[in-house]
Order: sequence, then C-alpha cells, then structure tokens
Amino acid sequence: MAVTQGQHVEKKSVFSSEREQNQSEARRGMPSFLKTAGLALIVPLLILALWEGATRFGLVAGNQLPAPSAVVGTIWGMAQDGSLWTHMGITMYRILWGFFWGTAAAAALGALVAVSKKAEVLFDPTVQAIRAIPSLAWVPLFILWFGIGEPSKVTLIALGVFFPVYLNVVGGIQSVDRKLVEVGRAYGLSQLQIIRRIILPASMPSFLTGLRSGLGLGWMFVVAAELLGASEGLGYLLVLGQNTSAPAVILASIVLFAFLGKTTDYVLKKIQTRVLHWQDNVKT
Amino acid sequence: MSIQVEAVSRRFEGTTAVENVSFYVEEGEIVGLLGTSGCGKSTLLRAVAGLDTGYEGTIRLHGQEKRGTSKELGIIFQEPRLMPWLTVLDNVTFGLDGPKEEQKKKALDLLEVVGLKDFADHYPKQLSGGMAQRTAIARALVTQPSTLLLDEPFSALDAFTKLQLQDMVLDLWNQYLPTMVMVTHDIDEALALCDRIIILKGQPGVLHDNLKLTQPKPRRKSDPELARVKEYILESLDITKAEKEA
Ligand SMILES: Nc1ncnc2c1ncn2[C@@H]1O[C@H](COP(=O)(O)OP(=O)(O)OP(=O)(O)O)[C@@H](O)[C@H]1O
Ligand SMILES: [Mg+2]
Repeated sequence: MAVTQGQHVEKKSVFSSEREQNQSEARRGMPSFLKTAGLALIVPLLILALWEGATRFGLVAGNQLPAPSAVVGTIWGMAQDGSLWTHMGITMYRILWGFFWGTAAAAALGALVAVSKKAEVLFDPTVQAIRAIPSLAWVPLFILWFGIGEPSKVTLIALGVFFPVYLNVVGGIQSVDRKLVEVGRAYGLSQLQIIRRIILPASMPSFLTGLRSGLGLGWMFVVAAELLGASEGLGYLLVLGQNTSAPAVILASIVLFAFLGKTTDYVLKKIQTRVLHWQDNVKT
Repeated sequence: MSIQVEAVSRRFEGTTAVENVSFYVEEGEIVGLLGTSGCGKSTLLRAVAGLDTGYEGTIRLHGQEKRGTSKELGIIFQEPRLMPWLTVLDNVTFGLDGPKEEQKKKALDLLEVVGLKDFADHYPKQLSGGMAQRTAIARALVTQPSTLLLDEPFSALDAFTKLQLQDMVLDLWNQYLPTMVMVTHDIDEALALCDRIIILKGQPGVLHDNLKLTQPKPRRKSDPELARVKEYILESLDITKAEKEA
C-alpha cells in the first residue's frame, strides 16, 4: 500500500473505516429494512396503479376486468351484509378439519412406519402407490360415498395434507442422528424414553416442514372441493362469480384465498421458528 | 476386579477390527488404551460400554458377564453429542433422575468445575467445540458413575483446556476413585493419568503390551522415569523398527 504524497491530493485519508462509512450511511437515509420493503413495494403498487388507471379511463372493459377499487368494494360490501364472514368461516372450518385429520393420520402412520421395519414393509408400498394417484381423481368417488356435504370435502383436504406430512415424518424420524440415540442408550433409557426424549425433538424440524407443505396443499384442495359443489365458502364465490358474470366476486375470492393462505402459513412459520429456536440454521 | 475383557474379537462384514484382546481393569484404576489410528480402540470401548454387542468373547463387569449398557457406566464420546434442542444445563441433567431442583444443583456444581456456569442457559449452537466437549464431560460426570469410559475425550481441545481438564479428571478421581478406561493416542496424556497402559497395534488390532506405571499422581511432566516410558512406547509403536527386529 504505497500512497505517494501529492499524487492523490484529493484523497482525504489513507485509510477507510467501515464503521464510519456505516454511520454516515445511517445518517444519510432510512434504515435498510425500510429501504428493501420500499423497493419490494414498487412493482406491485405500479401494477395496481396501472390497472386502476386502465379501467377508470375505459382502456379495458370494466365488466371483464374490474378496477382494484371495485374488488375492494365488493369485499367491503360482503363484510357489511355479513356474507363475507360466513364464506370465510366455512372455508376455514373445512381446511382446519382437513388439516387436523390429515396431519393426525400422517403422523400416526408415519411414526409407525419409521420406527418399525415390519410396519414399513406392510404399509409403505401401499401408501406410495396411492400417492401416485392424482388426488383430485378421488373426488367423484368421495362424492358418491360421502355425498356432497362436509365429509367428502374434509376427506379430500385431509388426503391432500396427508402425503407431505407422512413423507416428512418418515424421513425425519429415519434420519435422526444415530449418535444421539446412542447417548440415550448409554444412559439406559427405555425404547419409549428414547422416542420421547430424542427421536421426537430431533425429528421436529422435518415434521414442521411437512406441516407447512401439507397446509399449502390443503389450500389447493379446499379450492377444488368447493369448486365441485358447495353452497358456501370462498370456492363457492368463484363459481358464483363465474355463473353471474361478476369478475369482481371472483377476484375478491382470490384475494381472500391469498390472504387466508398467507395468514395460516405465517402462523405455522411463527410456530416453527419458536419451536426450532435451537436450530443452527433458523435465522433469528 | 472391575472390568474383565476376555478374548474379545470384533468383525465387521469381512474386516476384523480387533482380534482376541484380553485385559482387566481393577477397581479404581485408570487404564489407557493406546494405539495408532484404526487399530480398534473405539471398537473395544464400545464393546465394553455395551453399545456394541456384536463381538465374540466375554466382557464382565464386577465379575458378571454382560452384553448391553449399564447405569453404572458413564461414557464420554469422541464428539460432544449434545442434544441441540436442550440448553447446556438440560444437557448435563440428561441422564439424571430425581427431583428437578436437586438435578439442577448437581449440574450447576459440575458446570462450575468445567468453567461453564455462565453458559448454563445457552444452546449447543452457541458453544465453541471445546465448550461443547466440556459440557459432554459434565454430563457424564454428573451421575457419578462407578466406571467412566472415555473415548479420546480431550483430543478436540486446545492445549490449555486439555491440561486443565486432565487435572480436573485427576481431582475427580482423587475424590471418589472411579474406575476409568480411557482411549487416547496422546502418549503424554496416558502417562499423566494412567495406572496402566494397554498398547494395541496393527490392523486387526491385537494387544501388544500391558504397562504398569507405579509413580504416584499427579506426576511431573519432567519426570525422567516417564520420559523413559515414553521412549519405550514410541519404540514399540514404531512399526518399521519392530519389523527389523523380527
Ligand atoms: N461400524 C463399522 N463398520 C465397519 N467397520 C468398522 C466399523 N467401526 C469400525 N470399523 C473398522 O474397525 C477398525 C477400527 O476402528 P476404530 O474406530 O475402533 O479405530 P480407533 O482405534 O478408534 O481409531 P481412531 O484413533 O482413529 O479413533 C477400522 O478399520 C474401522 O474401519
Ligand atoms: Mg476412535
């Protein structure tokens, strides 16, 4: 590092301090997270503005593509006459029940298959074979068996939730560090204690990953279930919008699906970071 | 006699790890298993610990033949093997039974000894390698096992911590005279701590020598007697030299 005097006259100093730079940057602008948030918002806001403008000035036919404000208006209207809460409520009820049953069945069978070699040979090939069937193909059969009411919908959603949870439970338990299990054996823990004190917590990360992808699939299946015969629910709004040529209703339903899907995933994500705070890779 | 290993061999699909090894460990003795890498020290220790039951031969604990783990044995592995979801304190109490308060007190006392009292609430991801190993040592000691099995417990530690923990082990040994079997490939460590050194050699590992050290502990590192023993061990581990003699 040779700095010859006189040559770089304009240079103030021969060294640079990261600390000083950071400080001056902090003084100059807003905190960095606000900056990235602002950056991320530019595109969506621009699209919304263009969309709103295009419909206001009649560039697009309003009865094909309603303005964002019209969509918000539709939601607002449903909130005031109370139908919004019924539709959202019944959809939430279906997904939660389906999620619950799917998870319960997957956790029970997955744990059994992962722990016992016999159970694996007995059940796993069948489960894998059923998994190969696109789950929506079951719909007609479920409707035949359970009718058009709630049971067929909940069963379909549970089926969608089942597979990702099952796969993650089995994978999670089977990949528990053998060395940790050995510590338990060295302390003379019983098989049951080893499961409770080592295998369960060690497979938690994988289980929670399974829950999140299971929930994602659950939302897909709730749409399918409600499209195929329902008189209430957000999916029914999609059908209603189509039948009454009301795109604002369809868009409102899409927005609400997105909102609920994101919210439920957010809740699971919060649970995940809280439960797995000990993990080395979860950002804090 | 506390531990008897009689004609133990262990084969893994084709390869033999140890062949026909016999030795015994008296009550309250510190015995070192010394040998080059891959000669079956860990394999032998796992057999004694009962974690591996696929060996041939007999292993007796207090005169009784056993296959499988026992609560009387405490084990310190080559790696820390801490439960990542438990705090340092909960890791230390992992093998303890009894009232929570008592467990906590015992664990904190030991954490003080290994110098980690201030880290009781930390998680393993927040520890350095040496700190993690010290936690594992505390976990093994907290149950006050009558026999301690150690598999290169200090090999991952820096020189200072290593000496410090060796002193700690000696202190502990003075307090309640546990029987110890310690795998190591550090000759100085074996010389500082052991009453007897069992030298394994070759692949498959066979028992090469069984040295008895009578110097009282703690021993001075500069002891000329020890220097002679060290030279002897180095010579007997030196394969080229042994071959020339043969
Ligand atoms: N589970 C296993 N399966 C197959 N071979 C094994 C197994 N465990 C150990 N071995 C073999 O047994 C031999 C002895 O291994 P061991 O781990 O006991 O060596 P070691 O003396 O402890 O070496 P180090 O000082 O490097 O820890 C090695 O050749 C190893 O490849
Ligand atoms: Mg080893």
